[in-house]
Amino acid sequence: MQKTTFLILLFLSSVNYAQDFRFGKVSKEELEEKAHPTDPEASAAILYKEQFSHIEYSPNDGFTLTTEVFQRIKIYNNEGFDWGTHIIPVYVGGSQDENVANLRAVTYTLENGKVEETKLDNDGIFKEERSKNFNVEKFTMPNLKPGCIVEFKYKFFSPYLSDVDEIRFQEEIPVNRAEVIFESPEWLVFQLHRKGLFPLEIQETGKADKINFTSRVATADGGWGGGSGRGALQAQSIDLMKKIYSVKVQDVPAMREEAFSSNIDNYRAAISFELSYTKFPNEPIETVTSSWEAVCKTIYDSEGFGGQLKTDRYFDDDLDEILEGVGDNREKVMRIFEYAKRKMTWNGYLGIYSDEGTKNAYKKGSGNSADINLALVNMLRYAGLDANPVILSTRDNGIPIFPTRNGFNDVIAGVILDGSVLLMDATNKIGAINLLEESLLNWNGRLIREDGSSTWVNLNPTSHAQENTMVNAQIDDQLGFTTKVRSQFSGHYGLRYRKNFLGKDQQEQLEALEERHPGLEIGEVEIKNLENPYEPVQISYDYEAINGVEHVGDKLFISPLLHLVNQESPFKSEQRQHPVDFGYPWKDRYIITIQLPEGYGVESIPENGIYTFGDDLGSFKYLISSTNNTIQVSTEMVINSSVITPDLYQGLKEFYAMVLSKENEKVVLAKI
Amino acid sequence: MMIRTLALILFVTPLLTFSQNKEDFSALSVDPALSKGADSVLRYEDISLDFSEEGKLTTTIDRIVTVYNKTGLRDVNAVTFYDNNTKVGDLEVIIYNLLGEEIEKIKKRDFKDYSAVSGGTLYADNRVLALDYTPNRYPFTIRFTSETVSETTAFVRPWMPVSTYDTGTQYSKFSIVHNPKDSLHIKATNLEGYDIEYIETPEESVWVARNIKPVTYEYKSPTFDKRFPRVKAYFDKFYLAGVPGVGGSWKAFGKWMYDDLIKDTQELDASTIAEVQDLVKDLPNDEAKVKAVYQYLQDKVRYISVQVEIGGWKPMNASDVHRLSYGDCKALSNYMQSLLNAVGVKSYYTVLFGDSDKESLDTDVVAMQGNHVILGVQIGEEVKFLECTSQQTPYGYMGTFTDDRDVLLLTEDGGKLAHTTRYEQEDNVETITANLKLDAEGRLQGTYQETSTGIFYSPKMSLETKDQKDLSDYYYENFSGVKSLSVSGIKLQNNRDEVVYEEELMLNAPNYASKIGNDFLAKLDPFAWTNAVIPPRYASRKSDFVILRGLIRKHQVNFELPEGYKVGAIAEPVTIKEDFGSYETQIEVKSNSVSFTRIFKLNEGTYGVDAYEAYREFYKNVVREDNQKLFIEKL
Repeated sequence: MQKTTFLILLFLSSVNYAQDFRFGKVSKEELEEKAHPTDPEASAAILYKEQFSHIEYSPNDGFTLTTEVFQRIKIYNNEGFDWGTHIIPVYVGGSQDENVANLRAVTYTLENGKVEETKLDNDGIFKEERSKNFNVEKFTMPNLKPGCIVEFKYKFFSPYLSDVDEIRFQEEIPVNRAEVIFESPEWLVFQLHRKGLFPLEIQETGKADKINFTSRVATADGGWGGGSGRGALQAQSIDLMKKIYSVKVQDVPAMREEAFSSNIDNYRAAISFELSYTKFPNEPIETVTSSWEAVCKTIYDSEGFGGQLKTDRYFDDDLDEILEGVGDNREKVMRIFEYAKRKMTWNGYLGIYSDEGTKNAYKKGSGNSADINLALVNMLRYAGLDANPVILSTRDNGIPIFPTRNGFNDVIAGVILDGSVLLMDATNKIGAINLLEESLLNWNGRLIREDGSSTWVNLNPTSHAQENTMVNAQIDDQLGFTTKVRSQFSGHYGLRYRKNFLGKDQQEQLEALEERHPGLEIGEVEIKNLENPYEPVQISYDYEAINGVEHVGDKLFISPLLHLVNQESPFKSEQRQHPVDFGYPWKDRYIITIQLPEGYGVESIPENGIYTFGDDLGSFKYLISSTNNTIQVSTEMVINSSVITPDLYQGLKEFYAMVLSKENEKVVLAKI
Repeated sequence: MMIRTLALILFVTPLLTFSQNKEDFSALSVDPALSKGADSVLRYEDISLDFSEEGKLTTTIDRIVTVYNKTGLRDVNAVTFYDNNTKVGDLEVIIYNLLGEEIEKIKKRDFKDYSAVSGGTLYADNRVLALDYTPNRYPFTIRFTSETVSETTAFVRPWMPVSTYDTGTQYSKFSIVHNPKDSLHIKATNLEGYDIEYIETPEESVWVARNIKPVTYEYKSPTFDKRFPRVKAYFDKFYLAGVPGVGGSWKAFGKWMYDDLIKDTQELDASTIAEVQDLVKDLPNDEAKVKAVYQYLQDKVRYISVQVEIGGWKPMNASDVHRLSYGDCKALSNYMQSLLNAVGVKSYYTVLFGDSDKESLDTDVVAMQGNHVILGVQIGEEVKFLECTSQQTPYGYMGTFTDDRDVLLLTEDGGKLAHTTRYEQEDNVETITANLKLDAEGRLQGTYQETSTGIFYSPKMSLETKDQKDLSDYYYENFSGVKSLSVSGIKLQNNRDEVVYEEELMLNAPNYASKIGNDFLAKLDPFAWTNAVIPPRYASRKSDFVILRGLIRKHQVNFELPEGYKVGAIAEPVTIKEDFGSYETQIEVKSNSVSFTRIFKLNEGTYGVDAYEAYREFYKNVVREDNQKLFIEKL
């Protein structure tokens, strides 16, 4: 009974009139709809999306993938007009190019109760060469109006069977209905992968098929390779089975961007097809990719990766000098890493494959991330260390949902020493051992050994980024503050300060600090260890604050955390779709001592407090005490997990609210 | 004639000796006065624009820059734009190390070739060749040479011996070579006080600047163009993508633009004409007709930038815009003009600079200028302006992107200069009214209203497009001083006829007042400004500061106190008056309520550098007064 009700409800939630999902069969009811039935704020919705992919054979081109795309999109208001422009990426310049064909598109509007059609003409279609291997084909629909519907269909041909584009079921607007069919001949075996939280039901079936082609049968003396004699044309046909995957979904909710998110694409409902192996008649199985192990082996075997690790020892003399007299392995790692950072400069391009060649990059002093870090691995190995490349996917690149070479876009170096892994990225001049740029802290890395075998390495930092700050403040006769601050920032905090402050002169550093703490007039700034990533960044400064003390009647009110008080919570939204991602665990500790002005005594101080969040996910401690002429307060705020899942969001939001409320409590001073 | 030649020789000689400098590529020989605080120093620059061949512009650039850090890398400006009418000849970069020894040579084929389509543009046929070089060590010196030949001679690039902040200039030379028959018109500004010489012959004009120290960006300083040396030039005749043009006066220039770029694009078919004529047939006057047609336009089209014809200067045909329902600023303004032609209202295609700095067309330079097009409409004696790329902008409203600046109208009789709508201080008013109640738990609850007019109106237009979550997040951002705030019942009222935007909502903030024993301490103005608004401090500021638009911000906050409490202590009202603005508060205490009124004004103007400290002090006082507390005692 319950099931029945659920079904009925589901049915009701989508559209309650008959819809015809053939191109051109747009109904008046669809055009009349003013807002999306379940997401009234949506600016547009995909009413129907169909994608049919099949693999064809021709003697000239071999196997190619054809994808037939059809979409019907409802646009509710002007905000949805972006859905009237579509961009199709096209890769070219290989042995065969991808291309788009048979593009047909129509905008439907309702004019005086009648359905009007406006076709897309050639003047709305644009081809742009973005770079040597990458073109885009764009089209923008004519006659868009609030309430209109656009339909388009086209065929997309691709020779890249091992690199089938991900098929999305979820967008930034609701998707009412989508049907995807993917067919492949039995000789090409694909593996289907899914991602996202939305449930997808996938059907797999088989069907008999035939491949027809004509070929010239060689004359007896010519043979296949001879080619001198022209044989007769002969029609041929081969029977085979094809495998069919089909996915149908309904009512997929829209995705929305949120603050403190990692790449939200990781949570999108989508499927991907991965070519795992080929098995042609009378031929052995040929594995394409099937496991991370195999993917890594393939990568390792390529010239641009493993090949670079075998290159001549172009650096040996330099390194012998660097390592002279060094016995300790950790010291060796450090010296080589620092040398690599100095010797080569990153050109801004990421890659797992060497671009210049490590030797060239070393000589030239610049290269992509693979050039630099593979050279680093080489050098570390030369010194007899257990060093290997670690390939990874940056945050922008997302988390791959199946083993694929394209899943990785960056490589760093890893050394195993005394049972632990030391990770290094020599492209980052201010990075340190086990201190990687935040954009690299994504999921896992894969360490590939010299024999091509590989294993996962956790990239997430386990140690806290830490701030320790001591403040000594004095309230003067004019009720202003004169304050001395000393802070230490370690781990990722240190990295962040280095990024912001390195290369700035003293005036710029002062301005940057004043920008970070508005309202402070900073006198003198001293920053230490900016160049040395192995020590915490130390910042000392003194400031005068304009409004630290509130004077109401004959009482003084002081916010004892002074400029360190958090004014607002970053978590204000009522709801949360995706995890909150801090990037790394962190700990902020403050100790503040305030000298009271002459003639005033403490009338009241806030109570001590300890707050916790979740099961050891976060905590806040607030301790305050006073003597005759001083107040001392110490706080410690800790977040132990870099990622907080959405089910814990309310807890996090309340935790922040309590912390803020406590931080903002006042000390009251009265005239003695 | 003889004298001129002699003069040329005399002047050329020192130039030649100085150009020896070109051979010194060592960063060590830079005068510290030029490199102090600089990201880069322009060691040597020789830009030559050769117009001597009819319909052809040959641009050669030889530039040597010493780069001190990553930011300075951009000052090398080793990029060359090209398109169907502009061909790139030679292009080369040579890199020198600290000592001036050559370490690398980069040829044309090693430059990256990109499509130069900016983010907002769907399609344009411009492309760019850009240097892709990763320096390994700073400082280094780089030499960039390029030659391009273009069929567009309409743009005489300006000379800017100081082109950006934090860069010093050792030597910069700029020459314009032309047929003596084509007289060159020149406008040079801010050359005084710099070491700049100028040599003129019938065929050539040459400027040379030496030793200009770097300047650093300062908040609200006058725009770069107004502060530093600039030379702009133009000819009376020119070519735009091979199409000949005539100028000399705005009248003639405008006539050419109208005749060659606009006129033949305005045809509409009979049914379209009939449709708009029918739309306005019962309307009493031109203004009503324009409003109706403008609404028709806004309902029909959307903005999409596609730049192709004649270097992106010719609008798309009006009939195509009608069919496609989209276009860029040129296409949409031109289409609107065609529609108005159909209903017999006179209007003018209007060329201007669109930006929030109120940049005017340089009216002394009769040449292609501007980056935007709007439509001027003749309503009686007055010209009203329409922004045709927006589907929300009310009739006649300009906003900060197009207000208060000189523009060029293209009329049938030729070009005519005009000025867009200027918003005075009394026009630009933001009024916040809140009626709030504090309960015995310290919770603040009540209603909030905000009314925006003048320049305050334009940012509000986008509020309607936000969904509920983004809209409440918008208020959370705005009221950042109120902790644990929640908002509800948001009502937005966009009065497009009067150009007034009204917002209304309910606020709820638990723990707004902090508890102190049995009493409470609360901020008087929940919408008080924070320290973040205080202008930045400079150890020694160099430039004046500019307030581009006068404005008034008013707060009226009424507090009702919880039952059984009274006002224990409260701040005194203040009045602060300065040249650039004023601030005034009033506080009224009743038995169980308090009302706080504050009026903040900024006065449009340019103020001397000496006044900057006072300007900061003013903001500090505002923040201090804004954040005054109310102490509430239990009875």
